[in-house]
Amino acid sequence: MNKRTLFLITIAILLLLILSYRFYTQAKKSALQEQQKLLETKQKMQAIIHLKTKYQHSHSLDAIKPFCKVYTNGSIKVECANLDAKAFHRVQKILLQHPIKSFVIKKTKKGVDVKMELTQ
Amino acid sequence: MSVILYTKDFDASVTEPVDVILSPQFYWIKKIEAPIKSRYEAKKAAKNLFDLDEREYIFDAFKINDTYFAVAIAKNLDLAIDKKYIRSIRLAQTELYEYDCINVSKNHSIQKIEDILFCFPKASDCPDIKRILPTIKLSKHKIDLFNKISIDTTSLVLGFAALLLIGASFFIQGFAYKKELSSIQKQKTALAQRYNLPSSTYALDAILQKYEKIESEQKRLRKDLEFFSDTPARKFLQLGFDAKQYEVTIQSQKSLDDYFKKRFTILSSQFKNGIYKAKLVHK
Repeated sequence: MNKRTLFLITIAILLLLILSYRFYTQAKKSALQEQQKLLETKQKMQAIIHLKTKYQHSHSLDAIKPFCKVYTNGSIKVECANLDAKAFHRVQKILLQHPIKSFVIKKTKKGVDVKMELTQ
Repeated sequence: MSVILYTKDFDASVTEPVDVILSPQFYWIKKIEAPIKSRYEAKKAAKNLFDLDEREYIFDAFKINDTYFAVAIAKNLDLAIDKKYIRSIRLAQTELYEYDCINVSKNHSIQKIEDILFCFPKASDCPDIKRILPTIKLSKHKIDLFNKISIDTTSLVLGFAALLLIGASFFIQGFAYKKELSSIQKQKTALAQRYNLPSSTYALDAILQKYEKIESEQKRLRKDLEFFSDTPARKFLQLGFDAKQYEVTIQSQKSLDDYFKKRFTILSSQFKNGIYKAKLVHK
């Protein structure tokens, strides 16, 4: 066989081999990276859903309505007056399940007054 | 001296690049009578026309005036010319075909018989090669005598086939990964639809950051409330928080600065008539 022909064929095959290997490694790298990203995205989405559920006022405020006024004006506002110890404990327990923006708890002669603003 | 005719009598010293024409003494030649369509076919046929060992001879073929000729040349042809000065090797048959008779040395002449040039003893009335060579126009036919490599074709083909197979397997695996990649992207879109969230990482990060901020603020607030409930006096008259600072009013027998300093920076505090008042922010 002609040396030049052999050389050219060898170079062509080696080039093809290098190209195919590069194609393989790049495809593998991209696939693994995407797989990793998918996993991260999944984890982020689950974390968002978890936090969203936790602070989405999914816990009903209905239970405190006998003791407090609840109204929405941009944010949720709760106002309770003259709560006795038992009612205060109950209200406090429910309100702590919500994202609190600000509050004032005041002891009066008749009991405890609570004003609270929850994050929307 | 750029073109020389190399005969068995050749004894000149070559010190410059030359095109070498081999005299018929150095090769076997036959006219191919069978119908041949291409030089490739003629070269293949050439191997069968001579009863010579393929390992020792190079077989070639060329076309002159619509007739194919097959030639066989010994691979170990030893020329008395340094290889570095050999520009090309050619055959008398292709280069001197148009001459019927040429005197090539003191003892030999080349003569054409039935379209093939042969070497004969010197004849009279033939032109001398020294007059012909300076005017000769070289053909495109060259012999790759020193540029050949002897290698077992089967091993070579198997080697190349193995390399090609490896290459093909890389391509196949690469395509499999590409397919997986598109499947992953579909999964990502499906996931975003399922959770009703944007699929872009940037948007997700922004949403997550927002919720993580709320989470950390709320955790801190609850820890603050725990801290307040552990206050030594525990007789709170008022506790307020306006998203930035706490305002406390506590019935106490002493100032509670030391206690609140553990967790907060005290903006202002007052202890008067058994009532402790303070404004607190985080450090």
